[in-house]
Amino acid sequence: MARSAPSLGSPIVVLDPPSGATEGGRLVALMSPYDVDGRVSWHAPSVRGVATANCYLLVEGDSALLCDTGLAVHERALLEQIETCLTPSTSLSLLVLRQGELDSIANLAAIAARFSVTMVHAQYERIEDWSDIHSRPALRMTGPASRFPDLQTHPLQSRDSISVDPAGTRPIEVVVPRLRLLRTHWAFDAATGTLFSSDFFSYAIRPDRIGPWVVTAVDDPTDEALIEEHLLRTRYWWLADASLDAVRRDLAAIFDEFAVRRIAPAFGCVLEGQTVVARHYAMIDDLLRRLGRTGASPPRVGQTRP
Amino acid sequence: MTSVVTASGTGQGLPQQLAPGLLWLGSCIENPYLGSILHTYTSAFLVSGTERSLLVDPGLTCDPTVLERQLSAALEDRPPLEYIFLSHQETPHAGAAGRILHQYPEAIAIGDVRDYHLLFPDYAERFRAVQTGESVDLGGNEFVVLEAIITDLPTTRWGFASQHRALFSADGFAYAHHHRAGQCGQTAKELPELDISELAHIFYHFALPWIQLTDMDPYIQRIETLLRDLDVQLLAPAHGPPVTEVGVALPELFAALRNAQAQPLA
Repeated sequence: MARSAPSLGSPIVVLDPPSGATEGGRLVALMSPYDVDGRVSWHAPSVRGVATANCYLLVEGDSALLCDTGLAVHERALLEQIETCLTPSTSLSLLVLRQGELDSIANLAAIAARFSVTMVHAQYERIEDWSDIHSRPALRMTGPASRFPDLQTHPLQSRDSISVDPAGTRPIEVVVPRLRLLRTHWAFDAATGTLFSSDFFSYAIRPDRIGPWVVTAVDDPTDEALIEEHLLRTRYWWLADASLDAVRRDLAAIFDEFAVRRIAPAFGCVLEGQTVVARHYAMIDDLLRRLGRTGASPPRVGQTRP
Repeated sequence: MTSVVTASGTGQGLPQQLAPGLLWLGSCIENPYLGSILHTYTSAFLVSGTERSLLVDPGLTCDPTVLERQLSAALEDRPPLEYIFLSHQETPHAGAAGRILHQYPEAIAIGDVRDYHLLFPDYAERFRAVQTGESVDLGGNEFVVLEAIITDLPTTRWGFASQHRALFSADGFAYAHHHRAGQCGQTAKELPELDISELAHIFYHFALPWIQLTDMDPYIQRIETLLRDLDVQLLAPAHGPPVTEVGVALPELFAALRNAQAQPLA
């Protein structure tokens, strides 16, 4: 069972080991709540509640890998969360799953500045060009005033393998799923059975800031209707018009290859445990089967667009 | 295009004046593809009326300060920048929004502005929702916010400048050009050798994968209606050379949309 640090503001949730302390976790979720109030386009316009923006810290010995960098509005809290979890000797690298989107790279400069990051695994070369979004001089990524001249980028291939630590004892498999809107990678950490699914599986939210932010088999209110509304009224509006057989096969292949015991999305609750994972995979697969166009069905262009 | 996209180009060839009061800004990005180098644009457009100016898409380019420099020079003899139109929040379209709002403290950002309070919290009060069908008056030139037909994010919008009959189509009608001397900063009319259909097909494969899974004919019909209803005379995509002879280029652009599904790239 995942365990939360006491803060209700921006909780640190130790996902692995199940009874681990915050500073000793191999996998830690750094979660920052925000209001789902109709002003956030990755939630359906009619939905209300609270969700979390999630970054995940994978720790192996003196090395750590941070998956995604969260929302700019959470910068200060996120830096404090990271600092809480790392020792001064920890070497930190970054993994960016959607390099072309602001919610994936917004805090990259602030994190790199604070923790001396030297390696970013990302989709395109020269991550500094793609993340130079700040007007604050201390966070400028490029130009003569840049404070990041040693930052290196490892451009991810469609299928790739990286590691949390230099020795390669904690490999992370990286894939491009067909179930994506824009250029997106998913990552799988075999050591903890965790699939980092970026913007997908991101529909589980709570009514208030109390949480909990981990969905378990005894507390899993999500149903297929909720997921359908979420997908068709947000970034996956196009599913209603698309031919999805290849997408279903690709998703099945990912879950066949990887022994997923936990799904860790960029937004919303973590889906914890094999029972929950199997249930949510089945709901998604059934939705894709129902939504996908066949040759006989009429186009529904624009009817579901938010 | 491979999965590797470098961002090491320059503002070569830009800015270019497309019409009085309509300036094409931005720069190219290099895209290695099958052993060659293609270029795509990260374009911005400065639209002016008699009273005020509007910037379309302050995106991150290969040279993150090129847009600031181009804008500063362009606004020396144009009406002041009062609006920044955000087609959507991908970094090639909105990554420099905070920096431009900082540089021009009187300007506000418009469009579907959901999310930006979380992405640029320092400027949260300067994002103003302008709904589809609504417009801002630049002085003899109305800038209208439109529903985007070729789209990605739920917040994606297109824009239309009434004086120029120009459609700002974000990721719609995008296509690369070849990395050869003289092609950067040229409109489609000036590059007759370009295989627009093939190059647009490549773009959609990498940038908008949903198109490969979708029958695009209904979308094409909606585009045709829109272009006819607005009497569009100029297409201004963010990632392709502007199209000044719309009727000439449309068959190739539509062919790319159809081919994305019929002939998907490996």
